Amino acid sequence: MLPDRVLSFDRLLGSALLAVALLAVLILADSYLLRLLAIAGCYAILAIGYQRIFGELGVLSLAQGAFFAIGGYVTAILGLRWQLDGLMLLSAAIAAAALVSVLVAPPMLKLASHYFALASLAVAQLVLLAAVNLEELTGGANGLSSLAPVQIAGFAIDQGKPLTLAIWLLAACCAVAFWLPGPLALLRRHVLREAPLVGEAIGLGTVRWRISAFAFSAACAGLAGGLYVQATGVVAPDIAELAVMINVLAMSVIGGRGRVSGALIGAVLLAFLPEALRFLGGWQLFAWGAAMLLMLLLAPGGIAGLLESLLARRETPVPTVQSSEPRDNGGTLQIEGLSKRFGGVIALADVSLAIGEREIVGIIGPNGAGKTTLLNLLSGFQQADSGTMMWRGVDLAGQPAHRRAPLGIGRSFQTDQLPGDVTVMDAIAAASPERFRLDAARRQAMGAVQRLGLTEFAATALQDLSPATRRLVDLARALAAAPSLLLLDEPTSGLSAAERDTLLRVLRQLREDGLSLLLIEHDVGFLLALADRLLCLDQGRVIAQGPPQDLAARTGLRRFFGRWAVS
Amino acid sequence: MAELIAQLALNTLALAAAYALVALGFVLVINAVGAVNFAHGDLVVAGGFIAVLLGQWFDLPGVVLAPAVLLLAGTLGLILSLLAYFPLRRGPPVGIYVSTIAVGVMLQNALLNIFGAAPRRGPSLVEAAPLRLGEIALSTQAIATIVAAGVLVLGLHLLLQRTQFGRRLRATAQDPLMAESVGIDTRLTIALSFIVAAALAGAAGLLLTPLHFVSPHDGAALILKAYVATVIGGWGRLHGALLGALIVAGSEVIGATLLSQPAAEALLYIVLLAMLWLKPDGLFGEAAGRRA
Repeated sequence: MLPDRVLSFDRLLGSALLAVALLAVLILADSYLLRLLAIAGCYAILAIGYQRIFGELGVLSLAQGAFFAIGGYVTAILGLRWQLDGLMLLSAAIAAAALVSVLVAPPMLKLASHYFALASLAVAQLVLLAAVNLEELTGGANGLSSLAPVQIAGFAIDQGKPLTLAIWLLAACCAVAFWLPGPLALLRRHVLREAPLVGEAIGLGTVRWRISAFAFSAACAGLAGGLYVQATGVVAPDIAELAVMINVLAMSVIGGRGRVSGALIGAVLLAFLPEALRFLGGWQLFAWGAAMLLMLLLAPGGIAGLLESLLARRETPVPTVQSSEPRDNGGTLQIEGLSKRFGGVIALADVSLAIGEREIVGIIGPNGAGKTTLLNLLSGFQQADSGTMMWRGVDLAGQPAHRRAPLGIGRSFQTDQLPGDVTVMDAIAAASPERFRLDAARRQAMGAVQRLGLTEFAATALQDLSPATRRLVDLARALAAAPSLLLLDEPTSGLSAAERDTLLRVLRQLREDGLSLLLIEHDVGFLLALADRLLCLDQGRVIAQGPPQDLAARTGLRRFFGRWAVS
Repeated sequence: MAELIAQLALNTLALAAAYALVALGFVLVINAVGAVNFAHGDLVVAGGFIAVLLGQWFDLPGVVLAPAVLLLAGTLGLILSLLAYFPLRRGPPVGIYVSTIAVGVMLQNALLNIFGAAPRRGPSLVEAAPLRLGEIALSTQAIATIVAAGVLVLGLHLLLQRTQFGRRLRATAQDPLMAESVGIDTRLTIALSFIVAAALAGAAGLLLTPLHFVSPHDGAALILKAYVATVIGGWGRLHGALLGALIVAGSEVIGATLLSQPAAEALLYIVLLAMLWLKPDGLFGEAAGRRA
């Protein structure tokens, strides 16, 4: 994925489609076609919202249809009872849907993905039950009808041309709101979707990003529901049925995931195809499901993705010059009495350790000694049972994983976690401290790329690289955030002798540049050549620590050093 | 009064027995592939309609038709895995959620077009007069449902614990790469788990139709009930799913008696959301976050 290419083509195609739709609204006189176009516009707004949570973040929400229904019912009920102004009605629809989403999101979005999908399905079923059974409020199975045309500042916006125009203008507003965060945010959402651990490690708060995406999608759905009810003049429980949700999913998958243009294509197909497919009779929804399945199997980017691969420019952007890396140097880490248990198993017991500025500390020990647990506690993926970790005078215990990168703590992963379909440059750019501009983030990334000798691979997708090279990319990714303390998990595993030497040079240079390093490593020779100090861990306890050569000479530690033991 | 209570308890147990089958199949696939099969509820409905159809054609009691229902539903499970799981198994699980939803939509609408939207009643499980215990008459239907489900659960238990397939399945669930490296054909194992899960779903459909009817739109509610049972009972444990199913069925029967059927259903979903909020590990504990 090249985020700038995806986004620029989406902006182009999406704008063109919006322009065509607006033009069609102005030209068309046929009231039936206008009505279909109005409905297509409502679907488009509904689907644009869904692209953020499902398309970009890959979170399967099954409540988008429910938010649509909430918007619809709120508009209808307030409109019938109090004849509110149209802007008030639509604002109420948006606010109600967004409010419900923000209320249910925090407990749900923390859960693993299928929990979330099913929990959102439960929300949808609740809304459906309410629509059918709260007859006083919703009119029950018959719904509510004879809604008056919406009034804005005293002027009635009639169904037909005026309302349809308003709907498509609002769809354009939603598209602009969708495009606003730009390609760097798109890239980061992609990383968060494909590699959530890396996302946390580079400072993206998964839950916060998900909640804002969920609220955006719900707000769009609420607006769409309000407009849909205005366009059709009735509201009935069928807008809360699962079929609406299936349609939203189908629009996104068939039109093209994560793209405004995909939402627009899906919406127009959904509104106009039933006419063309009338001969299918009751089998239309069946065909819709089959089309969705085929798209998933054959063209995961949907129709918009197909058009993009046919039409968009192909050359990859050439990485530009490196910029000097801002670095606020130095920091000391002070660990006291750190303990962690998993059930009955003691992973770490009373571990104390200090790392000074420009110091490299290596951890050695057999499998299950607690090495990775220590790294996970430091990077916030697990919480300690007791003990303190003070970094630059801040207790890390209160800081979630995604806050630790901004504090200057970076980490690399033992196993390959990076998404395969982004380029080396972009995988690293996602981690840069740059907030908004992709080109600036890429320039910063190139600094880390050059440092690790990866320049020739800058524009290569990660999936086309050898595992060893990907490990170097992961290190560069950690460096891109300009950390002061770097946690490395088995950095040499899988590297060739030459790559190992490069890595040794790079890590020494990092120390010269003012970084502190804590690394887990099985290659004792590598540590003897690099580390200032070693820590021997066994069964969660510190057996010894000190200068490498001293420890290697101790007879009691021979099992840690093997052939490197000095006897 | 005694008869009413006994009958109510028996109905609850019968419903719980059917839900337990739904939940066990649901969990079987999650454990095998780490992704939810969203067509599972529709497979239950399909099993119900297979029973309806076979009942019309052959005029035999449900127990006799059961092997055929298991076989046909299992075949649907195989088709589902070939269409929606295997082509996407290398991608993120969300792709599989959506593909199984797509197949579920196809299944649901095929049933809708063939049978119509109205609830249908399937063949009775057994043709027998109510069982009399002194003053109290007990429905043989309900008893047969419980016995049939018990036989299937026992069969599943033996399959998982005593056979090579069970060992392979557990190995595949724990670590697919490791399983493959020790020579387990994980594709075959996964296909088999889809087949067994769908057969269990089909059996649940067969058991549900005589007393509770089926309609093509029931899939969503059924998968949610399986999910609630699983969340309450915890993942991957046989007795957890059984207890979860009992609680779901109990709240449904009692809630419908005391309040109303929709109110009971709504209450179930609210309890689910509250549980996810307060105790996402299930009543018996297992970290929710660890199952991706």
